[in-house]
Amino acid sequence: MSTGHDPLDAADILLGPELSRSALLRAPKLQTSRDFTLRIDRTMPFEFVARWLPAFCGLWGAKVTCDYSDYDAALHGIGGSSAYDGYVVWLDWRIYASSMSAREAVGWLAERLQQLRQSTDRTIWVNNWPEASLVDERLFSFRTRDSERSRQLNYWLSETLAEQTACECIDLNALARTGEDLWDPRNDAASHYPFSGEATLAIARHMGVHLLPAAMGPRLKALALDLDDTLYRGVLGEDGIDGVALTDGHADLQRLLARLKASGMLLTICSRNEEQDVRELFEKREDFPLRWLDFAAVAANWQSKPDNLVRLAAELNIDPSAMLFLDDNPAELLRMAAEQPSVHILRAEADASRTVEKLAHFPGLYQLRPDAEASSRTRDVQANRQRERLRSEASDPLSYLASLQMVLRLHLNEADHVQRLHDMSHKTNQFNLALRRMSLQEAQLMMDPGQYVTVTAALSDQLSDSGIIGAFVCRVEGKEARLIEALLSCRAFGRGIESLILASLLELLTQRGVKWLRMDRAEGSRNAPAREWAERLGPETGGRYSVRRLIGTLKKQLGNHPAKVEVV
Amino acid sequence: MSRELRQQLLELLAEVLEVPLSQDSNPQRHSLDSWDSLKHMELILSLEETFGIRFTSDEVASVESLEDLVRIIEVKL
Repeated sequence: MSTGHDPLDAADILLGPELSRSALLRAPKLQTSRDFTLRIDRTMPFEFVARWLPAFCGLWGAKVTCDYSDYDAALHGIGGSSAYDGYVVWLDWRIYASSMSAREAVGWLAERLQQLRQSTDRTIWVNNWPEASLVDERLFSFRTRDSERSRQLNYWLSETLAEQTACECIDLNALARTGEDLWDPRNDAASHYPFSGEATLAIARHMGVHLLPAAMGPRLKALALDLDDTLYRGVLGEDGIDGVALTDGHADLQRLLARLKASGMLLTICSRNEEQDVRELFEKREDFPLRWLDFAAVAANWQSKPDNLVRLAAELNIDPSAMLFLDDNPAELLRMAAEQPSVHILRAEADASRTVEKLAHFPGLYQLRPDAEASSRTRDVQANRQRERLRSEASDPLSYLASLQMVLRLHLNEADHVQRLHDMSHKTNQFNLALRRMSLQEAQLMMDPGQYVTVTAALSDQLSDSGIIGAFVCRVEGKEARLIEALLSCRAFGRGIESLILASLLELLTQRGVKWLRMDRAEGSRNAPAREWAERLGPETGGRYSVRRLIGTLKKQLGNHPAKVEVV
Repeated sequence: MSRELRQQLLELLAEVLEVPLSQDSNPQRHSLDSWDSLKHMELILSLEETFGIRFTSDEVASVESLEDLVRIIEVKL
């Protein structure tokens, strides 16, 4: 059913369970705002996959083009001579079977990846190989099966990629398990490309909606969920708590949402219902996989959904553009698109198993790595409501801060926080002073104590343990340092934490003999909080601050800040 | 049937090969640079989905022109 809204209609076609060439050709062509060029180093054709990438990448506003190597089994010219936005190493792993063991083949590839890494810090994707066999292998033991070699290869490859910086796997083996008819010997005979048309579409979709956006853009932060006929079948206000139905598809959908929450995604409710009824529903219906406390914020009332979504975003301290709105009602979706065009929208279907498929393929939800802060995120946002209450009840700002019993732990050049630094540089938009979206390799370099003083800050108070909420990075050059990035999670706003971190950082710089500080700033559409904070530090002299004077300014601003600061 | 089918195939061929093809032409693989082995398989897969048919390996290898496609597909429909 067409809604006349291109992104919504395209998502219906491209993200659902039935993928076909004709459907892809029929899908609306979406406007793009970003261009990316991928370098493809290959030993088998990638063109079959590349043919369908534009349709999927259009869903997140990207135009992706490919630049190809010659077919070269040795990958001599890996990476080419130009700079690209990303690199795909696309290998027919079968061609190495006669000359190398699986482990040797992966070892050889690791050398090539290191060679490529010397010329780029961009993401490199490498395909593994399906363990499903082309021929019947029931007559062969594990010592002689072709699939056993693939199993070993995939094991060594995953070990190798885990050790490399910003190398990701195009997991053909996982796609092969999803039921696609994988092999096509005719294709193999004609073009040395062994996969079927169906498998090719699945590979293109995986790359286009999962892998590429996960590497090239920030992950979405929250979902705003309609309830009636979206998370269950029925209308709560009419059918009552026991009358609404949890179909198998809706149970799967709720389980997927719970899994997303566990991965760090914030779940919110955006529904036309009475909040008390909604609360009772999630407390009383024990068959629901989602519970009331799984929702970081709730807007269940009779106001407009765009207004409610803006309120939810404000409550979470995030921009509406970091949210996905899921609703079964096209009119609500279209209204959201009209009034809040930056919000991502997706139509829930009567058959919720289709909603699960679409959600599972929505760009911006794919998670590349575990998120150490995931488990604390929802609890922390919920605690913010209690903090607001404490603030309103306190006689003055300092007594409010004192009531929180905050402990700020500052870690210095902590190698274990490289991933978190990288993630924050991509996820943080409001308090992101230089908007330096770091590669993992850059983040790794910034933990080098020979060149950098990098502070990562963990915050806890009596209400929650927020985990690592801030990172300030200084490059030190003799008596001068340059603050090249200052990041603070929106969960830690409003408590003077950013100034506390800077004050401690300046003390550390002073111990290293630094006298002057320069500060990198970039103007983005959403980082006004960071820029305004920097403005409040006062004017620079000759483009830099005197560290001693800046410490004095911060001391004056912070007053007798009651947080306990520990340098680890 | 053959005329309608021929027209439909011509349009599909032009779309996959990304070249303009006149209505009375009989495109040959050897005379069209863009009809390489990759595009050939792309074409076969598109035809299979469009007509709900399946080509055998021999048929895939034997197709050298539009007329070959008409002949093979007519039998399968």
